Amino acid sequence: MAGLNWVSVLFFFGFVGVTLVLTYWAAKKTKTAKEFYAAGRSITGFQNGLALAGDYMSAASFLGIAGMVAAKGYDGLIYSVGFLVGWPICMFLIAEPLRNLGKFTFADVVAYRLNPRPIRTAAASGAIVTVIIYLTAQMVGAGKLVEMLFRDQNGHAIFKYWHAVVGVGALMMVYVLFGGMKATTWVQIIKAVLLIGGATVLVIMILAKFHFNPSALFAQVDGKLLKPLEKPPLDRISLGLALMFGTAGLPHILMRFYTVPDAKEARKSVFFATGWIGYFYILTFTIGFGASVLVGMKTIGANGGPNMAAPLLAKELGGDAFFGFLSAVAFATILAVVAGLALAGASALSHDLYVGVIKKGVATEKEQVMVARIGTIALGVLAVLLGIRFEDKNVAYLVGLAFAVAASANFPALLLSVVWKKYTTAGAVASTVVGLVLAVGLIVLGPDVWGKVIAVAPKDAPPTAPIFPLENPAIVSIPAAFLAGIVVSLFTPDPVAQAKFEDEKLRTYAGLGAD
Amino acid sequence: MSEPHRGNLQLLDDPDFKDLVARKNSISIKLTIATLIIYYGFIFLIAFKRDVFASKAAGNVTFGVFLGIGVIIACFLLTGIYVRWANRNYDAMVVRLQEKAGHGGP
Repeated sequence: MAGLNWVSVLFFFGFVGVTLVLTYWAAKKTKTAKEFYAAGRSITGFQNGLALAGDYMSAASFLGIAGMVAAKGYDGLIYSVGFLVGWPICMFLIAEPLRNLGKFTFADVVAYRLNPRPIRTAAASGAIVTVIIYLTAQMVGAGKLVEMLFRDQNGHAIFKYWHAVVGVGALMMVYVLFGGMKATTWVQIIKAVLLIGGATVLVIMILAKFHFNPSALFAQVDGKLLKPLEKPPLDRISLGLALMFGTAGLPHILMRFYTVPDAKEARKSVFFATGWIGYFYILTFTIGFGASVLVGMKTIGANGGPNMAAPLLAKELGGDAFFGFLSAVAFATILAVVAGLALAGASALSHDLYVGVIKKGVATEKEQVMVARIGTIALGVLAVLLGIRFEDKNVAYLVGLAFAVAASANFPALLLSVVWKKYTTAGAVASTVVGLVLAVGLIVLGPDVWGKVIAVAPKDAPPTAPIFPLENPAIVSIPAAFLAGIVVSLFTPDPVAQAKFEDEKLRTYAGLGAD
Repeated sequence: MSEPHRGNLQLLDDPDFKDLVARKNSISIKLTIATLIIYYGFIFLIAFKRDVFASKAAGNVTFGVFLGIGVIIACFLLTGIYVRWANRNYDAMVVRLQEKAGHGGP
């Protein structure tokens, strides 16, 4: 174990120690459903802004985008811009109505004036599918990261892949089971501060190398990296749609709006989150360009590939200690995101499916929290198993898929329920089901899965052509989900729901009667 | 889940409430359209005018880098515009309505 990076181990155990103390403190205040799912609505807008940023800045967006910029150049930057534009959309269309109408999940909003059982069944399915896809991607990422980061002098992995997957699963369960939303929120806040701080220091180190003159840095960046790759325009537009509307359909993000006391704080938290995330993405692509110049793709390729661009740059500029710190932060990032996802999945299982559908809305506080805890364990075990099962699969498309499902199954159903008077139960269910089936189905039939996983061509034969030509289904699945919601609603008019829409408006716009 | 108070339904016809709904919808739609135009302007430029991105804008920093940072900053400013509008106008209108409804406001 001579090559083990002790700084990294120290920082990592420091982080785990602090977060466990936090969990112990939060556990004492986590008895009721409102405390478990929504931290007792005690989080301020500023704190929630950081926590939202923490939930959103996954390892994929830190290591992934820095690596993509180092390897492919401008295309990585396009991703980071796309991930950000979802936030203003979320603010203008969703944040305040969601907070005013709901209690714990986005299904609360869709079910507000419609028939709760079918709506909650459909909406919870959309939420759980999104969460499981996203969880699997994070778990595989965690395992790979630990394998690459912790190596001995001979380059052999010190921890095995499954050690990391099981470790992340176990720690995440402790946070969520005992500390609920309060512990999960503070884990996100600490991690967001560490990640933004670490990335800032790294960028200052890069710029110091060039006497704080960005022009000197870009003079050395390979010209090819500064131009977008040639891709079919439809692919670009489709991915853009998924990223833009996916954010406002991600269950673990939407759930955060219930942790603040009212709509005003919800709105403030999006403003802060947008600022932090935007700043972070500007840092991330600077790190990517910096790595391409100061480390070089040859070295990056020989030491674990593009995902290691940021850690290798940290080693180059700050030595083993800074490399260790940044590695520990990257791992803490995955841990925090996994905890947030598990809590969102557990709330859909317990609040929507168990209480809303099976118990028809009648359950004691104790029962609700107990079922949510059982749901957390179930999701934790499932995530570990999926993480191990998918070890050798290319999971890059999983994050794109999670965004496509969120944008197609969750977002249209949610938006229509807030703005459209003639929306009906059948329409909402149709919209969710069409969005979900098309998003998943077209990805399976598309170039990332069909030709590479299902209908793999024999070695010498030309590659199998995908049945659906685009990498991202959003350009078909989002309009189809809206269309299904509208057409089915028009065929199944519901005067009771229309009358309730007028009531609902008082709550949507003025917060009258909001929880 | 507490139902909205039936006694407040007359507020639906209150000119203040109608004004609030109209103004909130108007600014939400305008800012959403602004976001869409900025982002899709960027995406269409990438899809159809790739060469623009590599041209130098200031020293060796390329136009594409400024464009990317510009879209990010524009998104942040748009959310800022909305928060400013809401803090100055929306909140006061909501408090007035809540007083009319006998809630006394938050």
